[in-house]
Amino acid sequence: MATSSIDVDALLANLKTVATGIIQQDVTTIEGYSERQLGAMAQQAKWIAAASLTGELSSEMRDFFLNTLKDSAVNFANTLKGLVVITVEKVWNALVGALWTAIGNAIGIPLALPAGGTGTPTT
Amino acid sequence: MGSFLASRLPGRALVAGLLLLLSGCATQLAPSYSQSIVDALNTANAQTLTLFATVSTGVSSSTYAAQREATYNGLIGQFQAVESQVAARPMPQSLIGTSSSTTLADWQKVLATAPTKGSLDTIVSVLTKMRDEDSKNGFKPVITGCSSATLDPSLICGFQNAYTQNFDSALTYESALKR
Repeated sequence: MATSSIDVDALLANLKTVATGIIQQDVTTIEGYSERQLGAMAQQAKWIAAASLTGELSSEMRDFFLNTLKDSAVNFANTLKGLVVITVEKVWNALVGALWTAIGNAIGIPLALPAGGTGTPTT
Repeated sequence: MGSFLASRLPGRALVAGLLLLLSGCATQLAPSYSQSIVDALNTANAQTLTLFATVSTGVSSSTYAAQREATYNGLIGQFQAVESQVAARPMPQSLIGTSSSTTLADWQKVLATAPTKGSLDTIVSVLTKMRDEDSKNGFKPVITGCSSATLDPSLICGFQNAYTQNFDSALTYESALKR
């Protein structure tokens, strides 16, 4: 395998491109999801108030919907956290992949990606 | 020189082979994508939305047992089945901790904040409450529409809003796992 020295500027540009591409794509997904969820929670809060005023909701049913709204907010937060973790994983793998490829090219040996200290190696 | 190469090359080839074999590894912080979970979610969602469309015209509790009870139970069962799939799938070690003595409590903690499981729990709770309400009182029709600017006070809208929000969470996360 031929070797080539690392061009730091080119590597930096490549790392930025890789990370930015993933983050921009995922932020779009996360933003869209967050907007839908916040809108849905606001709509549900408004509905609970309106249905209570019209007498459609008994106190027992109102408590159920309030509890469900609380659970939905928790689910939203957990999902948001999960989506961010997926993005972190993708960025981490992409950056390490680019770095390891550059080093591998420089020393003439293809390097294995390291298993993260906090993650699980998978093939 | 020849003997030097002969003694070095097999070792180098072996190391290079191992490196190549391992070069496909990556770090995993979230569970793997499951097409079967996404398919099951989409199937159950289509049937649930059909049920909402059916009851939105207004239904009487007298027709519950004959016309809708089996549908409710089937849907609740489907979402519970997906929930079991989600709970049973392998989780990355990072979510559980690196200790060699992982306890049941550690697993329960991870599952308690697992995105899709919470959403499916809520969906099952919503459909169960809706079923029980239908069996007792039926539903008044939706007049203006659940997503219209003029709020429709029909109970169905409350159930449908809660269902839709949590289904969105489950499907968004499960789809994002495809990476």
